[in-house]
Amino acid sequence: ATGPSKLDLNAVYGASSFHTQGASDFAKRVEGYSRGTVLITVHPGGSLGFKGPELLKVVKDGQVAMSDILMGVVAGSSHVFGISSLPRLVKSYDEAHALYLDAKPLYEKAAQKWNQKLLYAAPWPPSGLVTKKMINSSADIQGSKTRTYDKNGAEFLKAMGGMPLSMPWGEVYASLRTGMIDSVLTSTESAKNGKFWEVLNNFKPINYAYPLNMVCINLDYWHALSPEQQEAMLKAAADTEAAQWANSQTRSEEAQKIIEQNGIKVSQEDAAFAAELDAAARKIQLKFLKKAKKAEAALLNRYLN
Amino acid sequence: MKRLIAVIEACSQAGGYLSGLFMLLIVLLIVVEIIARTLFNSSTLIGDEYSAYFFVVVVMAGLAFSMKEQAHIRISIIRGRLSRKGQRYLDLVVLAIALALSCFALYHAILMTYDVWDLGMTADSISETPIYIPQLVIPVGLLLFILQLASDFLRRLLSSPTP
Amino acid sequence: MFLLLLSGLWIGFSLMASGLAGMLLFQLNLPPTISIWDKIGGLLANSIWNSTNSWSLTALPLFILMGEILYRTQISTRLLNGLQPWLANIPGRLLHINVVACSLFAAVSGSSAATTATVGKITLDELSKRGYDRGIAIGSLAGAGTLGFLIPPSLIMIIYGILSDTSIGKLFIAGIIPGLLLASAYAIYIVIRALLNPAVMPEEEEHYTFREKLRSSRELFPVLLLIVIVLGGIYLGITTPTEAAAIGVVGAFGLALWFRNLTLANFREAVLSAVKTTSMISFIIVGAAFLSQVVGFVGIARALSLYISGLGLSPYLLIVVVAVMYLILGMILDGISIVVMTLPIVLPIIVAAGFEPLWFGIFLVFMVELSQITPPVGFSIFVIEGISGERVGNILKATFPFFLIMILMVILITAAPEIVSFLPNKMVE
Ligand code: NA
Ligand code: NA
Repeated sequence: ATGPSKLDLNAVYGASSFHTQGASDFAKRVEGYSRGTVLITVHPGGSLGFKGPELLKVVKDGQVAMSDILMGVVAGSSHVFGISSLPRLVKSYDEAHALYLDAKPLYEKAAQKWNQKLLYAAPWPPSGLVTKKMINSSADIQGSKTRTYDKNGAEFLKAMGGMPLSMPWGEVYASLRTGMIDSVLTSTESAKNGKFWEVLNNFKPINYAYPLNMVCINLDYWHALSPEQQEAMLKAAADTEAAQWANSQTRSEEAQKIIEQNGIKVSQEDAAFAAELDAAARKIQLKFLKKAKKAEAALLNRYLN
Repeated sequence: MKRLIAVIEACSQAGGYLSGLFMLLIVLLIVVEIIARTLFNSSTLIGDEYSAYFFVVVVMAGLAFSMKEQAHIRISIIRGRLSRKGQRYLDLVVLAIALALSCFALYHAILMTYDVWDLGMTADSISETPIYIPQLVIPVGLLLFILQLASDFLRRLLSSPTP
Repeated sequence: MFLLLLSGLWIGFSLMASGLAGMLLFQLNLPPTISIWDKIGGLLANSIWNSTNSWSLTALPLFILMGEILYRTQISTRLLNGLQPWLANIPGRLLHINVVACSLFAAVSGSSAATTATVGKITLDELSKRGYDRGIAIGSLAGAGTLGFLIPPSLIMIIYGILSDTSIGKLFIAGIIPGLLLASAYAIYIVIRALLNPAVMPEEEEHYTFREKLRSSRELFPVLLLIVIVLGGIYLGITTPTEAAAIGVVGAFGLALWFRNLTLANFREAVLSAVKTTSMISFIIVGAAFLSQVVGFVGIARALSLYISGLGLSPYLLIVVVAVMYLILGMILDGISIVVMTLPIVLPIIVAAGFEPLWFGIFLVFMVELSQITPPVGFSIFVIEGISGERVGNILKATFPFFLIMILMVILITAAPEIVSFLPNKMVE
């Protein structure tokens, strides 16, 4: 081939989002390590017209060379990618990282099946409940209208007695203002970016989940790279992964400080509430386990106990 | 040949009715959702998802019908200045391009739907609907559309240039 | 692309063909194992699925259906009867009927063509018969009919909201004040014309007692009720725009039953007509979705925004450039095509220059409204030509003052963006 290899990277979230910035950093590192022979263009904000659930397939077919993919939304394509969005399976960054390392061989195998290579993965800051009224027990969740971002979140809140709704992110702020919904299951980072303190008052960091976002490359594109180029990519991926895990945690903590400064009360769950949350989460974990294949089930069982 | 054209137009018409039916089903689904929410404080949880699927039906089943009814818009500045004969040739060329594009789209829509079925992809929602089911509507709708375009093409080809 | 559009190929196909050509010309860095045709085909199939499998877009057919049902009720006759006594004492008298009736009808209809047709069908004849100036009648109909897009609900706002990830509910609410201001500007213009030249009105005046006014107002009640239900739900946050549309359909259906205008035959007609419009618009959206994917891959938008930001235009100058571009596009293209085709390129530039996406949505609606009344392709003009049988040249001449008023309004909302943002910021909690 003549000239540098050019690759498109589809980024689902906006240019200022944590994961898109990670993808841009990755692109810069790749350019550096490959001495300018691999150039990656990051297309932020889903500007290539992909929505999410189809991304495994889209990368598989090479419609786009690379993409960042929220694992949870492609669980319908490959069951194992649902692990990181299971509620309350892990409750800290350390636990989440351990789970990721344990599950990584399974993720890599699944990616391989979909004709792609997993380059790196990093977590969203953990989601909690941003609400109007203070939530201290499942009784407070009764009938509350909460925007959730995936199937698990909806089932979890339903099990807690709430009324989960899904809606496009663009409608969330207005719907909060108008009272169509009164709470959101999301991270401090998103609450900060959405200026939710203008419409909501409380945050309960229930450490609901540490959902992973991965970046994959189509294998046809991958094999078209030279061994040196591939090595440069892997090196950049390892750097980016380490940086993003650290960033995720600092950003979550900083975002929490900012929303507190803006008047959102942050309060921890007590033991009784934690037990209620765990019970609701358990139902979803067990349901998920039923459909899991052998290796996946073995892994889950270790974390369930 | 006239019978063929008549059969195709009947199919397009049926597509129009199907499309209308699903439009009404969307209304029904949403009304049920509103009633569930306001009166019973609950939710169907599939309202958004299924109204979107129904919308796919509305659009895809309606394409051929609206082509038959000449509801699709195009810019006719140049066409309007041509002679009858010129218009006929232009229409034939334009229809041929449209046919080629639709066949290309159909082929890849079939591939996509087949793949999605083969890979067992399901929606990331509580219903876990297999995605190929709503996607099947696309190749079917495109096929109807192609038939309608072909029938328009034939009609123009057969009509005598100077009526 | 313009060649394709001008050839008379349907717009959706033109957009697809342009996208295909764009990919073939630019997307060359493929590994040898992937064929360019498979890649293009995959993208095309994917954009058909992704752009139609959309929950927010379902508001589109529902608002269209609601308009179609209303069109088949005697709603416009009732509007005329109900408004007539109230207008009798204002300078310009019944010449205001188009402005007021269009504003009211726009609040239940999503499109300008439907608003123009429904109101014009009744008023134009009635005004001529009574001896009012035909030029003002036609001009005010063309001008006020376009309020269909600006006063919510609005098909353009739904499409813009989806493409720009802006809240459709907020866009709807944002359109209210500019819409009412525009309507008032038209009314003021008519008053001025009437005062300067009383010959535009018939000589004898009609007089109505207060009791008659009240009695006739009953005719307005159903429409007002429908407006309150549809917009009130959104404003109070009880419903999403899609849900408001479904309620609107049920409401329109109820009105039609109440007025005894509904037969199985015209209900079927209404549904099929809505099917036609929906497929037509959606087909354009599909084509545009594919094209904008290609635009993304090829990097046109990126290059163009870099180029334009490199020019160092001031924000206002940028808006002027954009407005002129839309005026030119608006001459030959219809409003929906303009929005879907240009947005992927224009919106990032506009946002980078510091404008709010919400504000730009309203600006764009004005641009679309202008395109409705500019030759050679102007949908409102076609509609009026169909109703009145008047020559296009005369219609254009009559419409021109109203065109200028619209331009003035665009300048006003650019100078004072609070006009747009005031109500959305005030939405109740
Ligand atoms: Na309207
Ligand atoms: Na025009």
